[in-house]
Amino acid sequence: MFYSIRSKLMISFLGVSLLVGAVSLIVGGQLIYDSVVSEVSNRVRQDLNVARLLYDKKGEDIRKALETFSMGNDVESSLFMEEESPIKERLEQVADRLGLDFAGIVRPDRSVICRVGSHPAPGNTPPTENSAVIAALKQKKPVAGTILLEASALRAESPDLVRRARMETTPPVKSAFPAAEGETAGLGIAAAVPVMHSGTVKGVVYGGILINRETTIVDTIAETVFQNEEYQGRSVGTATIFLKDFRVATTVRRQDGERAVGTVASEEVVRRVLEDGEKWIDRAIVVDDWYITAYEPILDIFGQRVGMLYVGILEAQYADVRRTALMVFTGITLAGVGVALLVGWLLSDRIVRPINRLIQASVNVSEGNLSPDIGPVSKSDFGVLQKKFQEMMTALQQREERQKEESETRLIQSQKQASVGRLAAGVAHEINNPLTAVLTYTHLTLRRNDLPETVRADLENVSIQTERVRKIVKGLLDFARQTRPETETIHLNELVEDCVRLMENQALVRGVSLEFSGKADLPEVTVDRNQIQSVIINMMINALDATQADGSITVSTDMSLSESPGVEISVADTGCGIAATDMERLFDPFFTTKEVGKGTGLGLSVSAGIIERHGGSITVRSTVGAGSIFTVWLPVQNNASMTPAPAGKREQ
Amino acid sequence: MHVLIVDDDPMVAESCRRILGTEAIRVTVAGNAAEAKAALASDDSFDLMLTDIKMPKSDGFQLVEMVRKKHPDLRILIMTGYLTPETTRRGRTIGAYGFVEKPFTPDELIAAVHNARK
Repeated sequence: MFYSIRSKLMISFLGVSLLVGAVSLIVGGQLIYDSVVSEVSNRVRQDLNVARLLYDKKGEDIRKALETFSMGNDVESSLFMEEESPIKERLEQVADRLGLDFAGIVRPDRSVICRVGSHPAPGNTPPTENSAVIAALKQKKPVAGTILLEASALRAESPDLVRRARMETTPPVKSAFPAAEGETAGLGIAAAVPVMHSGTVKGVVYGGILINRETTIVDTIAETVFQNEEYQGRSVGTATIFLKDFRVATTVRRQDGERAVGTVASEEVVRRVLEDGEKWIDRAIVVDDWYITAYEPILDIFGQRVGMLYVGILEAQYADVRRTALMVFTGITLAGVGVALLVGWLLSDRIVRPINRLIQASVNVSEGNLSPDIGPVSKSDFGVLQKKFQEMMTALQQREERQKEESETRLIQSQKQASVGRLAAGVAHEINNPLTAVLTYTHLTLRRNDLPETVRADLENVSIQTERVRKIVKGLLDFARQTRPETETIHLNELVEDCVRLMENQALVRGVSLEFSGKADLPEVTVDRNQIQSVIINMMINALDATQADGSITVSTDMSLSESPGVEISVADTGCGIAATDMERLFDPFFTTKEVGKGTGLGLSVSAGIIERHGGSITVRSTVGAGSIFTVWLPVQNNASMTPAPAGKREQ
Repeated sequence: MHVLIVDDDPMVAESCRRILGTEAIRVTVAGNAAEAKAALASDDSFDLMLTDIKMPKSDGFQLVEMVRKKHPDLRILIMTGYLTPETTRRGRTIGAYGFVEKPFTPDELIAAVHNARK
């Protein structure tokens, strides 16, 4: 089945369309996706820069506010006072305005003068461990930026902050940042402004924000950058601030809708950003979903990498773009496959249908139908085959008709011969008995010496005519006998030459010239010598009877020109010729054009029987008034000796 | 010389008697096989038998076969109006001496009979 033209065509079409479809699916899908990803990556890179600006601005804002605050006279004077009011009140106003989580004024030895928040009396509060303060004291100038707040530092500022900073890592992992059990460090944005007096630092005003669980910064980033864009109910853009490798402030939501603080960044990102200090812009899994992400390290005021800033865009919408594109491509491919199958089917049908019809026609031909229907002739090159097939059919039909005619003719001929033979045998047998009596009494009477002359003359006439009857009957019997040829292999020329010699005298008497021209190197033939001789002589007698004095008879032999190997004997005369009406009766028994008594009308029919039993044929060409040519064809490979005689084999 | 003629056609038998009579040959005529057998049984002076083939009841071939068994020395000529190769072949197989084709002239019959006697 897979070897049929149809399946080959269909498989080819299918293969090509599938291949093209699959390639365009893969390549096209990838191209679209790559371009989207690169587009989005660029956007995320820019978004990260914006986020960085927003993040940095926060520290600067605090610094500016604290600088303004520290310029007040009450700040410097408060440094030398034991009680904290009223400066604390003003500091609390500033902290409120800026949303600071911690703020305070300390002496150069970091002992606290006043502090925002619910603390015990100033004397009981521990000195600050705030690294911004340490940096400001050391550098003697305002400092702003990211700071890392150890749990102890947080506790020093406010016990509330320790609680806020503390978060469970989910799933619990060993953080890159060590912390005491049950405690978590904090990430802060802080500023510290030294209060200078005649070149020496008299104190420091500081304040800052604890980023842990802080929402305003990340929300501001997300709002500014992504304008709260949503896709299928989820925020498209996300922003996160990491302390070391875990999220301390984020807009990323867990499945339960809670902010995903306490979760951890992927190892790859951590390695690249925290360990190597490089930017990361690529796809990454954030909590549960794929995002196109940008990470960069956050440095603290000492230049140490203490965290990461992240923005990311939900990949789902772009993946959906890709999925949609892939579906469209798949649809196109399937449609192409469908079209290919349809075209392949129609095309193969066009090709296969006439072939099948030809095959069916061949089957019909072999079953005997020589005019099978092969359908309309195609205009393509296949039409040539169809035309040739039709031509072949026509030729076959003609040949069959010809053969049918020939065999019908032959059948009629042999039936005729057979019935005539039976009739002749029966009649001859019955006639011979009375004929015997007539001959006997005539001859015995003629022996008498006392017969009157007139009686003797009459009796002699009776005797002659009875002999005639005897000859006719013998001719009939010869015809009816139709014996099998008793064959021998002979040189045809020798046989024909013998016949010519036998007839030379008769021709001479009639004044007809008799010539023989034998073709040299004729193949030998296997024939019944006597029968063939009688055929040749019969033809020569006929020729002599038809030819006037001064006419001529030419006997010749030749190689056969017909398709099977054979030899020909021709007897051509310049006699009266044969009328067209006589032609078809020429080989009928008892048909003769000779005068009464000259011929029995059996010669040619007997000859035809003999030649037929030799597997040969007799043909005649004749022009009335110009002469006739009788040609006997005999096969060289004799396979005719076994042909049974149609009328000759009979019992008694 | 004594010749037995067997033929169901009395004119043929009579013709033979007349022809052979001119040669002073003694002729006995039988009209069928049974008569021929009876004649041969009652008289052992026959030198030759001439028999037709196509006869009612027992035909010439059967007669020849039977006669050859009982009278192996008797020569037999077969007379027929229709001499085919099959006839001659079968005749020779069953022991016929020769054949005479009907119709014949007196001279032809006489020659055949003399030939058979030699």
